[in-house]
Amino acid sequence: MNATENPTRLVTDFTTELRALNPERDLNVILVGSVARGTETLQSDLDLLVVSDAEIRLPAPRGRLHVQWFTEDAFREKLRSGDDFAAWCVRFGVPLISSAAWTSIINSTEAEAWPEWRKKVTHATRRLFLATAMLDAGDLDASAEETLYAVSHTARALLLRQGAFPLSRPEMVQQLAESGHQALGEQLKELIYGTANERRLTRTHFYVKKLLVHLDKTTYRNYVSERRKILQAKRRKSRRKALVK
Amino acid sequence: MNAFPRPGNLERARRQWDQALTHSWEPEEPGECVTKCFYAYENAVVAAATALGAKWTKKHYEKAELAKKLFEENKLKNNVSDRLARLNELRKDVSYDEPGPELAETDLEDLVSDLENFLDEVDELISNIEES
Repeated sequence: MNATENPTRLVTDFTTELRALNPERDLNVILVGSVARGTETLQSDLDLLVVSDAEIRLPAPRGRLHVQWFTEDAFREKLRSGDDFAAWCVRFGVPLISSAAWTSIINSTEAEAWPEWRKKVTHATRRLFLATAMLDAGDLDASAEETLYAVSHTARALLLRQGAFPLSRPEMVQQLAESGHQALGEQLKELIYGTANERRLTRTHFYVKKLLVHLDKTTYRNYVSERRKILQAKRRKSRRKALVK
Repeated sequence: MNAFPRPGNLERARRQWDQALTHSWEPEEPGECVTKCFYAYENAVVAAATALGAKWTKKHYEKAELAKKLFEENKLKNNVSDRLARLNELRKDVSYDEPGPELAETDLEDLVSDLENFLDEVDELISNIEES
């Protein structure tokens, strides 16, 4: 394992640089995602949440570290708006550096807010369209990655709607099975641990589309209709450009 | 190491660039544009590495490191390593439904234009290798 891959080293280097760049700021660094749950795979990112009292400078991206930063006010607002990432962080995040501000957030009424599952439908639909576009471009790996996002967001919507809080991706396989969505759980498992092939991805795209329509037909159709309008406008623009040339 | 053949990777990158170009037009779709540009850059780096006989892996950050290595070895004229790393961050934010202010500040026209230039560079590199 080289220095870029060593998780302890990555996090230590990041926090050291973060503190050096922002010596005056109140900083909270929270380990989130599958690493925080101890369920990571070789492909998993090392996800960190940074919450600060004001604007800060972030170190440059490094290795598989993925950092999301919010001011304390912005993070509280996300909790109030029913954002499931923020809700996940306050429930399962592991503080690496924390101040009174983080304690105040996790003990606040905002931290008890249940995420809005409908938000995940729009997002899953967007990822599904990207996954199919990547398949059209002949990029199986990119399509598999986008399909994984689409399936994960759909799974989160289903679980949240049923009153189960989604854990990490590997744990959601079991959660889906327990909540009657075994088929989606199996597809999630294939995407996490298996090898992508076109037939399997196409099958998953159809299945996810059906689930999204079942979850919220109006949101799905509105997104598709809006997207069609945008594409038509762009085609017209493209034709105009061609005529001018 | 993956075994996708070289022409496939550059062709894929061209198709992804073409899709990204459409997303860069008004009304802009920044999330989709940066995601497709990211995959296109990666495919182009892999196409160059394959033509040069350099090893590569599927890990995103290792492809960014590979881009830097190819630049330092004077195999590529442009160092796209930092751009790949930044785009990786941006598209991950988008994929988690957490696009930050940096996405809104990204000049999409510049992004697709720079990508097109890089694809041309890789195309030229491959042609030169094939001719020699």
